[in-house]
Amino acid sequence: MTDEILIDKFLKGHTEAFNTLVWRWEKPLYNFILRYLGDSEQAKDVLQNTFIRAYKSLPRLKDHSRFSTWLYQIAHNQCHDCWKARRHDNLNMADLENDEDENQSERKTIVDPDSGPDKSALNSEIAEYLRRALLMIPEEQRVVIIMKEYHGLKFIEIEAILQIPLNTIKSRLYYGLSAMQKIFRQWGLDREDLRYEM
Amino acid sequence: MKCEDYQNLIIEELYDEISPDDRLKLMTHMRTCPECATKLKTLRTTSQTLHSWPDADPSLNLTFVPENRLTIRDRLKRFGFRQFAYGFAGACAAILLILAIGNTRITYSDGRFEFQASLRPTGTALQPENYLTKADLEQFKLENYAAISQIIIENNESERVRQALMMSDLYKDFESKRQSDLQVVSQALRQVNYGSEQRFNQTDRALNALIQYVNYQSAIKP
Ligand SMILES: [Zn+2]
Repeated sequence: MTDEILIDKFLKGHTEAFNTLVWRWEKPLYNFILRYLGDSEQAKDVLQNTFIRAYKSLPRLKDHSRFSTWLYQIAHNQCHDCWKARRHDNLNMADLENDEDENQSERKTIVDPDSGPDKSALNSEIAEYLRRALLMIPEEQRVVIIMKEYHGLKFIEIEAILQIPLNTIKSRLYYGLSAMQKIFRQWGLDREDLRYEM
Repeated sequence: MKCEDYQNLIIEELYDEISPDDRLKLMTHMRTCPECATKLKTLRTTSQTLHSWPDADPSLNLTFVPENRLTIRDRLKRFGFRQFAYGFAGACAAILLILAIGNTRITYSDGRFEFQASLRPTGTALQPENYLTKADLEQFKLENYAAISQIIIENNESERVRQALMMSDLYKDFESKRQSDLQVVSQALRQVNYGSEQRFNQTDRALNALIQYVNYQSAIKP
């Protein structure tokens, strides 16, 4: 059953149809939010708010074929607000912290290239490094990287969600990936033998 | 064309969304520009490294039920799970309180709620006839249910912080009124019609639950 048929059913009063939409979309949306915010508890809250918002405003969605775009838009707005609020908190926290400690931990190489190739242990840790690395690049670059790399969205789909020009999307990808590459190299994550086997 | 002009084409090539003409243009440039050729290669590696983060499972168990079928019990069931609890935890905790205390009266309007926990009407002398009767308490219980269900409906989007504040205000209010109850009870325990002693124990239990709740809220404060 397509999303459009489910939306139609929902608007005719079948609440269960919305639950099917939730069941269908919760995993992709959760992973989008999780990579955006890098915090699983916050991601669950934001995911819930996204669905609640969708539940309430679905009757106002005119073009039902835009459902997934619209859902990503809601999730993106929620993430943006959450990130803004958290950044504000973090900045206040950072004032209290020792700058020297922070710089040192940033300079440290997480994966030591000279250490023995303990691949299985490394694989489980790589995801954690990726989480941290994504949080280090600007939000607007991070979001397009997530959409492209983890959701396989086309440039025009990202354009529809974020409402920004195609060229802007491409240059954010270019600079975002370049920044990620730099971080990976610093951390020793740019080697072939470190790659996770899916 | 300068190398910067090929940045977007490199991205298009990377994600295989490039037109045949542009691909030819890029390939031609890269034959004479090792920098751009290397760039495409390293970005490809970066992209592959990113895929080492597999998808996670949210296990959310979020279920929507039709509004008109909801009773208080349904609402509790519906919002009983942890993740949903933030907005509703205040209301849920309040319901638990109401179940535990018979001698409380809750009124709710315009997003604020007040409650009366005193065993006697305020401002009156300590006369036996001024103590609450069983019928009064039953009446208050009914009013409390109505007030709480209104709180649930109106607060379903409230921030958890606001809820926590509301609950801690309630707690303070509760504690001060309980102190005055203490005096009343110690002076005239026997004259109260309706199982004061038991009720008093229940009040203590409810108060403990409330303290735990407020502590929990401050522990999860963002
Ligand atoms: Zn070049």
